[in-house]
Amino acid sequence: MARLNGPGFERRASGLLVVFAVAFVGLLARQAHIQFVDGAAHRRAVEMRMVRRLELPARRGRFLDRAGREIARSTEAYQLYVFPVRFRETNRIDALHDLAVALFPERVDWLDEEPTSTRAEILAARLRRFLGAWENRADVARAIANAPVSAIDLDGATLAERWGSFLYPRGELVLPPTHLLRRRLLDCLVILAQEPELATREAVANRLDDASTIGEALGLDDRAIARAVEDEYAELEWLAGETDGLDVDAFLYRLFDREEDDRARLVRAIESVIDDRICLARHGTHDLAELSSEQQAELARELGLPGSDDDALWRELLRARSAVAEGEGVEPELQGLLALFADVGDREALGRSPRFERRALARALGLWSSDPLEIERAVGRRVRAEPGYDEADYLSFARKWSRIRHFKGGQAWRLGSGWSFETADRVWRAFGLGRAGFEVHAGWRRQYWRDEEGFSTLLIGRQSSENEITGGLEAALGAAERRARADREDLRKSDPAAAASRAARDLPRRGRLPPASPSRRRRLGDDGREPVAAARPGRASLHRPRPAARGRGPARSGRGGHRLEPRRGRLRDRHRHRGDRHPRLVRRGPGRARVALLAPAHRAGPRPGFRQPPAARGRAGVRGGDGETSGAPGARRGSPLLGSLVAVLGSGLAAGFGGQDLHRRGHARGRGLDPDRVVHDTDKGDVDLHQALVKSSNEYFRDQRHLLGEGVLFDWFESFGLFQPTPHLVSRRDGGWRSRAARGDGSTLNSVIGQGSISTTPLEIADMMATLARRGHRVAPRIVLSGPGSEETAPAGVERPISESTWRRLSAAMEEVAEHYGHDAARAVGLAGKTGTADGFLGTRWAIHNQAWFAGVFPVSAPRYAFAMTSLRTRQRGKFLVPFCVELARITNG
Amino acid sequence: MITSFLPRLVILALAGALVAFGLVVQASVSDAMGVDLVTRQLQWCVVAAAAVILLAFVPYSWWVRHAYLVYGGSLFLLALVPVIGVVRNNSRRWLELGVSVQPSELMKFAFIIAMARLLRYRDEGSRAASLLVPGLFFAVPVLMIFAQPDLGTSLLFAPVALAMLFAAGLSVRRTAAILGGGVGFAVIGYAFFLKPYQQARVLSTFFRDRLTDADRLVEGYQLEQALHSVGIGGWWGEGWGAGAQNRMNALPYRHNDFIYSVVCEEWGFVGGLTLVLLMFALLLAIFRVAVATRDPEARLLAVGVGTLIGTQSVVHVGVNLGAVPTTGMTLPFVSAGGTSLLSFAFAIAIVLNLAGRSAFVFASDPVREQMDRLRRLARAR
Repeated sequence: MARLNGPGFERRASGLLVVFAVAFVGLLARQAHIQFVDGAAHRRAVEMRMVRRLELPARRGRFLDRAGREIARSTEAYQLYVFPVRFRETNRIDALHDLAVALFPERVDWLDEEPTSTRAEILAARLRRFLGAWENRADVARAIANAPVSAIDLDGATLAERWGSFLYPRGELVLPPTHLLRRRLLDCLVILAQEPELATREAVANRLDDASTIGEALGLDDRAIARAVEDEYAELEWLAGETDGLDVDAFLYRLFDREEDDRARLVRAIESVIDDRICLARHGTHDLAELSSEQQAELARELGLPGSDDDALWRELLRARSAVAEGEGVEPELQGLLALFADVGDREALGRSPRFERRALARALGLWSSDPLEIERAVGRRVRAEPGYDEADYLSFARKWSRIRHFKGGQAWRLGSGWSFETADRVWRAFGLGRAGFEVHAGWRRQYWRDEEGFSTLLIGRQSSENEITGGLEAALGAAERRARADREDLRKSDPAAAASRAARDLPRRGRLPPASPSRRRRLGDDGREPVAAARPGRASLHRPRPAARGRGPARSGRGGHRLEPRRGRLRDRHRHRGDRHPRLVRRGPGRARVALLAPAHRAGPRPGFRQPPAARGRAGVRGGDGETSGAPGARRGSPLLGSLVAVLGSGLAAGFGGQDLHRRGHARGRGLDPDRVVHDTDKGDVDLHQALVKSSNEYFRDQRHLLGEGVLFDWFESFGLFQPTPHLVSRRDGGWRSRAARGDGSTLNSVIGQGSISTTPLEIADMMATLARRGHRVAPRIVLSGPGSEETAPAGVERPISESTWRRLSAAMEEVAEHYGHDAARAVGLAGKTGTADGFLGTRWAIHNQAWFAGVFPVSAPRYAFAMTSLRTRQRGKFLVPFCVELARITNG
Repeated sequence: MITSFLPRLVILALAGALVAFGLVVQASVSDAMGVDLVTRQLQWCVVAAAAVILLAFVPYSWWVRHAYLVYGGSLFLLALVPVIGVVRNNSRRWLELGVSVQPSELMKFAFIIAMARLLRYRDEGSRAASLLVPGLFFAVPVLMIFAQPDLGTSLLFAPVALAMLFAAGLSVRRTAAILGGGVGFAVIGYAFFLKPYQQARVLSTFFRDRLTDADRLVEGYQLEQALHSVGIGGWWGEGWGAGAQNRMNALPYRHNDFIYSVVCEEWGFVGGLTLVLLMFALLLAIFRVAVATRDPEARLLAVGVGTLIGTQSVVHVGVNLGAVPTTGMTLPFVSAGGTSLLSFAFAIAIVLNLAGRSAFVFASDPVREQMDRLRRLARAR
């Protein structure tokens, strides 16, 4: 009492406040540590999960030793992953059904909606619904197409009122009467519309504002809608025949599950798929754990199950599935689909229920408790106790187990693996999996003769903010389709009989249909999203240059579109001498026109003298990393990387160290080139060539570039190996001059580094270094001694000699660079190289200098090895790599 | 009538700012989750505002007068939970009485009111035996809540009780002894009373570096994702609605138990700092009210409410930053959820009532002494 009224209370209250202040300060310090010290690691971890990856294979053929014995061999291994949290329903039959139920509840007889109680009945009812939607497609489509727009503009309460009598379990569409309902209906319209412009809810809603009927808004009549349903049904049938034996759990999930709400992360979503088969929803929940033991017993009794615990419910799922699989209550023509469902429950769907799995495993381990920790400990003990215990096996098991038990939203769900590219492509495209959140992970499994295995990850596609996958993914898959088309065309020309036989085989028939319906092909192929770049080097069809722009119609207008024609003209002019090698015009994404030039896949020898067209000279410019010409408005920031690149290949070499023709060119421009010339007041002070290389002076090289002219630089780039894609080695090596617009989608990430207007690859840089070390004698890399269609002949060398003094100057500068960052160790191994940085695409934006490389040769006194090492997304400079290269050199030198 | 308008205005403004902050964050989460959290929370805001307006006119002395009744009623509801409670998320915490009621939330404030009533005329520094009754008041509800199980809420009672005892005059030595005993009990409790999954949570928090990646996905999944969310925020964050973790739905329960992670992800360190400063300013205002008033029970009430808000905030932020084992604890006024908002609205209403009456009723010591004397006389008769 006395304390409460005296000054002591004030002190005590202040003391309590100080305690809170200290706690908050401590937490803020912890937050600062997480965000600023560990931030990069967290960002990497998130990006690893976030970035949508397309892994394109590097077809490496066989690797042979010097005696011709096989060391390693590559085989294809594609995988399809689904990220369920991003999963989106795109089933047109479901969309049609939901629209019909929402808009025309009185016509529910269109679709079989009898109340069901057992899992088998529900499953059968759902199968009948597919059939019903197909049979009644004409009526339903007509009704929807002619429905007034006001039908979709009803507010939530009105819709809920209309919908009241069709709530679960009588109806299948269970959504709260909120804006979710309207959103779902808009989604249905998006699915039915199939127009690229109507890919979002907003777009559909805007159309609805200006139309009187839904059909008018969607631009579809009832026939078109009915056709869409037929396509969907046909594809389902095709899947039934095609995916026999594959993991189709995800397919079932797609058919049965609805758009998720906040609590429908993966575990619960799957549980709900399972649970609603035993009518948990009648108790207001989809989670068995929420039911009391009395409710569980009651439910078990209602279902007529022996026993009253929830295990009985799970066992009932198994029994019901088996019964349905045997055809109970299902029409004969649906047996194909049943075969699919039969695969699901035993193996995957039921097993993915953490609780059931846990209990089953606990029993198998002889445990009383099904607590996860106990199980894991028991498993660990058991595995460790076994003879031949391998830590790696255990870790692998633990990882798999954790994935099953804690199947959180971001975890990938593998749909299938080991497929051929064509199979993955067909499945991916046939079901619109790109929109549904699936991705293709294509890797390259290396099987070494010592039974080592690895899996390479190469390239990334990405998802736009509109949930559209753009970039490498569609590009690669589209390329596969084009390839197949070209193959068919070749076959038709060379062997009409075989072509006819193949066409007959591909005719649509029950259970086996073409991989994609015409509508899907329209959506994927002809909507202006033309794929870029070849996906699989090593294929003969890929190496046959084809004028990609032929027959594609005029370039789309839109951002950058007005610049397309002049660019196209310049590109054609530049490559006119190449005969059949036309520049490739690439359009990607609706409304955006982009141009990219693919360098020729193969060159037999030095091409004739090339001179930059006068119209382009000084205007297009070389926007290297280090700056921009005066005629390149809005160019990006500079980097030492391409500055030094340009220097080594352009200014440095061309500055007269033996390149007589360049001397002449330089004189032709009225300026002499002098390697000892000092450029004053650069960003690194007064520097000559040596200093500029060592210090990475951007301004020095820009100055030299102005003296030489970009055409000369381009000529030398190619002579020394840049922009020379090497067949059979690395895929998607579409290096070269890239327009500003063309580099906007990140499709060159990972296998192509570069910046500004120049993209190149590590292999090309290594090639360049090797050519330098050979004093200008270039031999195309030929790691693959034996590959499909390749010849075991060494390619002809390309002579662009440089003098010994030139090499001495360059190597001295590179040696100094290596020594500066690698100290005595670099000198000991004779390392010489040049650092550089590049840009990379980070999901949504270009990041400056988050990639780097270091390229060079060793031993510098008598070079035997050239290398280029890159560091991706580390935000480190090239010097970061020097110690690694020193180690590489040390190991290589033995 | 003398009123202190400014403190009430400050408290209201700070609480309102926190609620508004929460709504903005929830709008982002809502968009990513595809669920309309904002409308629901706005509805609760209206209800909470009405509750504040109504309850602010109820004299706090009325609550104190009926403290034991409120405490007993809350105990009764707690006792009903094992009998007719509803199981959600593997815990039996709710009663379905037309609307869902979580008796442990009611118990927090009933406990504060009862302790204020109990301690108002006690000198807790005098005898150790005087801790017996408050200890009983503390132990009964805590054990009942712990049995639900709701470890987080039950542990919340300890700092509140200790702060109120300390404010009521418990000596520093005894306070330290109780704290030490608490730590010892925590160690014993960890070994013998916690369930395996609770032990795993503790381990995954304090020994995170020793976990394998697989283990992190098993036991520390939420913590791992929360740290990722916080980690990518940087200084200014990813921007409203642009948090990668948020858009990916990578972090479960981020609209309530992990909302601070979303703040850090989308608003960066600056956003987190702003939120913490707002919360601390609110604590400062509440403790200033405690100091300004002269009535013992009012002081204890303010200290109890302030400690409850402060502790819950610290625990929430600590959980989000991996400094405290993961437990479902909302951030007062910011997290989504009607029960949480309503209960803290009730707390703010009490503090507003305190702030409005302190200058009038207990303006000077003579008045206070006179009233105390009258009370003692009345009790003696």
